[in-house]
Amino acid sequence: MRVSYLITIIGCIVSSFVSLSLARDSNGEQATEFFRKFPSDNGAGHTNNWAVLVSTSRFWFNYRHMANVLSMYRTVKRLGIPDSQIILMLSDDVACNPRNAFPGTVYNNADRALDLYGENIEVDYRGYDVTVENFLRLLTNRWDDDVPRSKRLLTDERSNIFIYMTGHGGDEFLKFQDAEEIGSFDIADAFGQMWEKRRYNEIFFMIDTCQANTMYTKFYSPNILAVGSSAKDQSSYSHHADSDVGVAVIDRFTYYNLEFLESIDMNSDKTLYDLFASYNSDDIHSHPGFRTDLYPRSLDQVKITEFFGNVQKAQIDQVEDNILELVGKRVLAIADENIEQKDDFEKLPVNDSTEYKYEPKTSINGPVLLQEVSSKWNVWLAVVAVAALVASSSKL
Amino acid sequence: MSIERISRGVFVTLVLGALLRVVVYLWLPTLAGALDGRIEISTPVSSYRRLHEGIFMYNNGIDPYAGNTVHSSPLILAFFTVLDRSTAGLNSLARVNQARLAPISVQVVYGIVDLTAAYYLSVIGSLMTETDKFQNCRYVIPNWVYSAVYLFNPFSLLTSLALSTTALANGLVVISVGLAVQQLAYTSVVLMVFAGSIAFYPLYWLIPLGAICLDYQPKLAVVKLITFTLLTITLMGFICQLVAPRSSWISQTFGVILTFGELTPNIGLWWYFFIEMFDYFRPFFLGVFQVHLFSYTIPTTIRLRRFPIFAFTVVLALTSLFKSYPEIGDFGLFYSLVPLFSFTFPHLKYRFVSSLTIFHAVALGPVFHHLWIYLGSGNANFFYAITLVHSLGFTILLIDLVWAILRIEYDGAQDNTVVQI
Repeated sequence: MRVSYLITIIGCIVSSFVSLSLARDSNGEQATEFFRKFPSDNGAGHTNNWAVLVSTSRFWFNYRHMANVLSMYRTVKRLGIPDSQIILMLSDDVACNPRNAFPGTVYNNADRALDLYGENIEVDYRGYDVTVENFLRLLTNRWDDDVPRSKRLLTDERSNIFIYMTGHGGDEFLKFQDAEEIGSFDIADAFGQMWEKRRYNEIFFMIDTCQANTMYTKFYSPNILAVGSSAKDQSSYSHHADSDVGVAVIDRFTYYNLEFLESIDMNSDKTLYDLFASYNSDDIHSHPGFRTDLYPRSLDQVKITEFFGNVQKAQIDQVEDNILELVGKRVLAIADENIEQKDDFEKLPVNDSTEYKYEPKTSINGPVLLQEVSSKWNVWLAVVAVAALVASSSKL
Repeated sequence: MSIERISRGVFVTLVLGALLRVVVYLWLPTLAGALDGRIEISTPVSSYRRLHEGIFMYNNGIDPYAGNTVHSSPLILAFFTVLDRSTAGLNSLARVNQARLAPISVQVVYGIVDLTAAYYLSVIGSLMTETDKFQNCRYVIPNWVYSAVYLFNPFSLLTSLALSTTALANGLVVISVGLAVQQLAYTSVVLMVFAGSIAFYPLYWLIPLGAICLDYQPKLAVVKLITFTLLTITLMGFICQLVAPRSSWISQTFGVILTFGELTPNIGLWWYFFIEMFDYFRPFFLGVFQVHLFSYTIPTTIRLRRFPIFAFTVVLALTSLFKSYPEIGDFGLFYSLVPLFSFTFPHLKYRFVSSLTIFHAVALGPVFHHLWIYLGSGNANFFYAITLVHSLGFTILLIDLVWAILRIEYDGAQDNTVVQI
């Protein structure tokens, strides 16, 4: 056979192999390309954020559990997750409790500076609706048709979910409302169902109870990051009590979490590594643990806002709109030259004076263009024609 | 066109009128904008603010008729665009206060049109021959009064200060009649058609204008005049199309006037009907209203052909009363033409009633509008009722005038206290 024929045949075979290998799944490619081009953050791959915040205790002396959850609720809302994407489960019997010396309020600090109950909280499951069955149904989305959307966890495979649970717990169980308990296997299986049904992209599971770390030992689904407040055979302690309220108002683990999170805002780049590194077991009086073996990414690449905040297409600028603060900063900068002043004014868009200039432009992209119209001769011709008409008619 | 030697009275009046407009322009720069906002003075089809926007869009290559803002005819648009381009330097020099609605060249144009129209009114007054056959009817008013009434009567003055395009149209109408009286029929037709392109209804007034032309130029070839009229209308249409090709200018200019496209309250009689009307009946009522308006033109002209200028005035009045977007400028034009018939004043029977009704309506109209729109304590019925009262007073005045003319036509209005037994 001639060499040229051989080369041609080999070339055909090779090119067919090459083209076959190149013809991959185009839809998947497009989707990947989309997420690569428009990363929510760090290519994490999530497009929305949800939060499930559960306080499994009731009665007045468990005030701190309510305060825990409401503090987390406030943080999560502050960082951008809307109420429609937060499921809040509380017994809600503390703010209007007859024993509450400050009715209608829930504080998480003895200085009572911040009222967590406020005017604007949305509790989805209240009182005796906070049950194990409801919690598991919520996670797995197995509801009757008449359950409203606000009570459902409507996540998809691109959702990052932050699940926070607090209450009284023990070795691989968590007490719900003083009447029942949920086990670690139950939650693990619920997460397993969620993974099968593609109901999450990543889950961040935080639990603040006694022996909390035991609750996440049985997880087996991928993409779950878990952190607990205390190891097996350790209790979690409350942080402090308010003498006027009369009970403890916040738990230690949650308190130190909040202390870190209060320094975060929507544009923060702090990672979970920073959060976990800030835990000090001497302060917390227990050993918080975390589970990362099911989690693909390393913690120093996961931003806190990926779970606590919301995916935003809008850039929040740093412009300080409180004029007193602005002036104060300027005054301080003058007073103390060492203060490095981040000048917010530079960030504002420069607003040129909008004097109306009546100058004809060449063209702009308008809705309907009459390009040939804006040329000079049309209108001049029209005026001249009318003038000629008037003049000629006088000769008639 | 021959410009006769202007009499001293007319000259002084014209100068005073010009002075008034200049002083107002310099002293109250924002007046045009404020007046333009009043619905009695400017309507969607005649508002200068919309025209201004149209000029801006036109200069930037956007079709002004694409949206529902600009309803001015392409001729006016072209004219003002040319004006703007050629006087850009002058405008920037004279820009004393940024708050002005229009540059100085536009004000000058309006002023020139006003003064020319006032001049031609005096010409009409001096050349009118309608009552030469009746010796009892002498023209006792000096010529400058006609000019003064046109320049200073508040209706047309406010319209001109608000830079409403009706001021231009009315001025052109007066000039047209003046030219017809001066035996320049063809030019008058051209100007009337031009006025008709600014506001639609002067096209209806071509019929009484024809009667005027024929009366003052008996040797005029009628067929030639009619063909010339039709030719002019077609030519104007072509020029409009030249200025705004590929755009929906017909439906946005004449279409809006004929089909009552912009449903905003004004001092007319239409809007109240059409606001509450079901869409099913809309074409029917549009037809009825438009035909009703046109139906006055030909019979009035025929009946009052011996007094063609008076016929023109009556047709004008009826059109202003029943048109889709009237404004006080239209009534102002009528009031400017009324002194031409001062010989009828002794024979008017309802002077008191009509004038007081009109004053009453003119005073309360803005009050009720304010009450309705801004305070929210009145409602549309108040405002519409007062426009009806105004129409009533206006109609009484008109009927009175017609009666007086008929009386004069019958027997020269002789003193007939002698009772025939």
